[in-house]
Amino acid sequence: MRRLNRARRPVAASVLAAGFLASAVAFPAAAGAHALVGKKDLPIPEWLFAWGASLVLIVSFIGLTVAWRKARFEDDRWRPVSAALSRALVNRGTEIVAGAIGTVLLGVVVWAGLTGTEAPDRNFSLTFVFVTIWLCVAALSVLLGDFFRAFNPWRAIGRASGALFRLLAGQAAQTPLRYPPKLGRWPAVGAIFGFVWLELAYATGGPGVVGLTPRVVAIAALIYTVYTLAMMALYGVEEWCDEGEGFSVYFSMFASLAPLEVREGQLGRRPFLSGTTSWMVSPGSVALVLLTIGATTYDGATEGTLAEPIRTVTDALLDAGINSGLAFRLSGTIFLLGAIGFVSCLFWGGVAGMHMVRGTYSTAVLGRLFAHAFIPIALAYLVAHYFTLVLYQEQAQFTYLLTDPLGGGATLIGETTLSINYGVIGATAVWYVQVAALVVGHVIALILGHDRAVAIYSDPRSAARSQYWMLALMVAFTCTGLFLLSQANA
Amino acid sequence: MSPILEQLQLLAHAGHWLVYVLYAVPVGIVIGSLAVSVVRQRREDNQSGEQ
Repeated sequence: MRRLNRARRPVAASVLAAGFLASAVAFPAAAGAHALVGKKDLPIPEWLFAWGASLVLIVSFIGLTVAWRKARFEDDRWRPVSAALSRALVNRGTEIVAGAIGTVLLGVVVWAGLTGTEAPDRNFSLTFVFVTIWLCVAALSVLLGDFFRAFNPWRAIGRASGALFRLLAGQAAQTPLRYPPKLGRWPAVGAIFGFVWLELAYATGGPGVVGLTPRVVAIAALIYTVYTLAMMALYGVEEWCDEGEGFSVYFSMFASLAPLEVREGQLGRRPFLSGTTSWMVSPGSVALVLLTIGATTYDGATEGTLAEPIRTVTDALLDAGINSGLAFRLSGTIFLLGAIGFVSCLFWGGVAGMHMVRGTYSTAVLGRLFAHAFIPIALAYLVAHYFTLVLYQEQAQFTYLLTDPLGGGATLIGETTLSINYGVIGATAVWYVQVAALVVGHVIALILGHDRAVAIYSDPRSAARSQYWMLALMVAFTCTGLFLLSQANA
Repeated sequence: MSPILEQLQLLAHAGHWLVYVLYAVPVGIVIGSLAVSVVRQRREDNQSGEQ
């Protein structure tokens, strides 16, 4: 049996490698690339990158099976940094300053949204919320840890209100309710779904339909602020931030990859990626990971693969007499839910496959045990899909949107003649970054999955067999991601 | 457009949509290997159970 397994393992890799080499010779890029020739200068067709990426995954899988025999991320290896460094970075003063900055920026978003220009590209609020916060904070969290917690405006307002109450009443405010553990992170999942729905489905514009305006963003921010502060008053500021507040939980998901973590006011180091193994403890965590991947998948697909089907459904809704605004948003919502459903089906299908390994856990438990491996994939999808957006929009953010947040011609920090330089990166480089992000993200996911398998299965053979399914999932996600990107870039 | 012309157009554009299938080839190979592995495993388990 052991002999058979050893012989079988490299079969997929060998077939793929042979096919890869043959295809590279048989289908040079110029012949197959069609309209893409003018945009990219690739030595091989784009689909062959999917084959190459799959090959990398299969080889990584074999390497892990052979060389990674004991779990390295399961033990808590958090160690405090020097007390002086920790005190310098994490103290009451920095918390107050960071909270004040976060609160002021929330205020600017609302102010710019309500009183500034309705032109989305000239108003501070849209770029700041959907690019600087949503994307840049997620990426920086992977390096710096959960720094958003310090800047979280709602936490800052909640804590300031608590301090004021203590000052006036002479005692700490008691929360009337205890946060129900069963609720887990589901409120955060709801909040993040609302956010991506606003960004991706509500924002869908069309003939006679205005997409997402700065005013809508400002109103949404105000509604979310009222809701969050009410929940904090009911359950407690820290309790709500830990589990219920959407952005806190979303950024903490990416921060779990980081080598830095603050515990009880003390900054510490831990091995990169190791925080993910303990992140999935609360109900709803798996859903948040899948929602993040699904939303990015949908956004990527709307620029290519799903563009025509969405148009067809929208036309059908319009023909049925539904008004145009509702028709556009309804079709967007249907396909957004479909994309999240598609990603969830892939995930749970792979997990159900793992369940076939004898003497293993239930599918639901396996889902919770292995979902942390998909956090790097969520990050990889974000990087691959949005890094050009960040590259372009952050030029605007730190030039004309900073000096003129309302888009009315103000020069708050001096006049700027700078505009977005779209030539900062070429199409070929974009593609290579996208491929690299997806491959690295999925290899890391394989490592995390393998590490967990080694920890929970009694023998290495069962661990490896359970991970065949994880490999299939990773290859499926990689090929889907590259396919969507190639279509969006076309 | 007549149905026959629609079919011909579909074939004429095969160069466009066939390339999509190529993205699924690695997934097919891995899932195929997985299926073979599962079938062999079950067969071996059954044989060892009978013995």
